[in-house]
Amino acid sequence: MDNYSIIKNTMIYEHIKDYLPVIPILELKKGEYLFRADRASDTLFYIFEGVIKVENISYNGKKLIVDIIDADNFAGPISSIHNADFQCSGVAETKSKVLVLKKSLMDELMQNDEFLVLFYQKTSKRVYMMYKNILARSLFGENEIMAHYILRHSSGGVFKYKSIYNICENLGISRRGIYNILYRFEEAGCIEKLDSGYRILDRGYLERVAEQMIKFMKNSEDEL
Amino acid sequence: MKLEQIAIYDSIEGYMEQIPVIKVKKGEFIPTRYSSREGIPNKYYIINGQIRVWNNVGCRKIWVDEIGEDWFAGDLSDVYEQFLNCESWAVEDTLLLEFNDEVFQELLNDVRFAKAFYHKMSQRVYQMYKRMLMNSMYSQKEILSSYIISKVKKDRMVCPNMNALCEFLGFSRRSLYNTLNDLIKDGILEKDDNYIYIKDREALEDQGKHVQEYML
Repeated sequence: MDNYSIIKNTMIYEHIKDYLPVIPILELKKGEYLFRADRASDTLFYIFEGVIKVENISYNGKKLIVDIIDADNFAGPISSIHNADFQCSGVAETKSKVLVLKKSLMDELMQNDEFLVLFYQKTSKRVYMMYKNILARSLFGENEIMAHYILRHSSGGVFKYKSIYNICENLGISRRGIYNILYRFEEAGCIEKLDSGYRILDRGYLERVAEQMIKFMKNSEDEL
Repeated sequence: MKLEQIAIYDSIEGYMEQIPVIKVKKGEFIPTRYSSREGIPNKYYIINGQIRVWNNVGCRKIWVDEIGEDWFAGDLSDVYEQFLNCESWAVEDTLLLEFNDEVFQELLNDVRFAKAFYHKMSQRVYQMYKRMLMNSMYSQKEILSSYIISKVKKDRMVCPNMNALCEFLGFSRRSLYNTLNDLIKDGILEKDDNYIYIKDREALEDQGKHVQEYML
C-alpha cells in the first residue's frame, strides 16, 4: 500500500489533508532515532507505519521504557507541551514512517477545536495506559509481574519471548531477577525450559501468583 | 472560587439543574459516600478545596495525585478504559460539582467541554506519570534528599508522619528508615523525635540534584 493510502486511513487525515503536500515524510530504519532527549526540538510526529519505542536514560545509565507507540499515534516531545518534560528519546523499534509536524503547522492545527480534542485525547489515553503499567510495577511484586507477563505472552501452552534483555526492559526487573523468578517457577513445576521459551505445565499456579495483578490490569470495572 | 469562574462553566451552564453541588467534609472519602448510587461511577469537578487520590491493592497503597480547585476528580480513568479504581478523600472541606455518567457523556459530545476535559486530564496524567518515572529512575536516597530539600526551612524540618511519607514517596517503611539512616550515617542529616536537621546542605543538594533537575 502506498503512503497516501495508509495516511488516508489514519485518524488525523481529515485535519491534515489540505497540508499533505507540505508535510515531510520521514522513513526510519529499525534502530534509528526519531528524536533525542539531548536535542531540544518542538517538532512532533505522527506515526503512520511501524513502531517507535520511547525511552529515558538517566544520568547513571539506567534505561526505562516510557512508551511503545504504534501506528496512528502522535510521537515526539509531547510531554513538554504538558509541562512535564520526560526527557525521552524515540527510536524506531521496526522500520517506520512518520509525518513531520513542525511547530508552525501544529500551531495552526491546534486552532481547530476538533483537532485539539483529538490530540489531547490520543496523547492522554496513551499516557493513562502507560501510567497504569508503571503503577502496577509499584503495586505488585516481581513474581506477580513475571507470572502475569508469562500468561499474557503465552500461546498454545508455550511462553515465547524475544530475549531476556527485552523482558528486563519491559518489566523493569534486573536480568538476575528474571532468571531467579524463572528458576523458582521451574522448581515449583509450573514451567519447563524448552530450546526456545518455556512450556507452561501448571497455568493455575501462575494464575494464582498473578491473581491480584490480573484483576488490576483487566479493563473492565466489573472484573475488578 | 465562584462557580461562574471555573474553566468549564460556559459548557455546563445549561445543565446546572442536573449537576448538583455537593459538600465533602475534610477527611471524608468520596467514593464511599457518593458512588453507592446503584454502582454508577460519578465524576466531579472541584469548585473549592483539595482532594487526595490513592490506589489500593490489598495492603499496598500508592499515592496517585492531589488535586485542587478547577480540576476534574472522581472515576475518570474509565473514560480512558483503564479503570485504576482509585480512592479519593477530601484533604480539606471541599465543594464539588457532581456529574452522573449520562450527563458527563452528553457533555463530552460538546467540543468546548471535551477540549477542557482532555486538556486538563492530559496535564494531570503527564504529571502523574512523570512522578512514577522518577520513582523508577532514581534511587531512594536521591528521591528522599530531593524531598527534604523541597520541604526544609532554615536547615530543619518537622518530622513528617512516616506512614504518610512512605505512601507519598512510594517507599516501604523499612526502605524509608534505611534511607534516612544512610543519610544520617553519611553525616548529611541528624534526627530527633521532632525534627530532621540538615548537617551538610551541599551534600544533600548533591544527592537530590538529579531528581530536582528532572522534576523541574
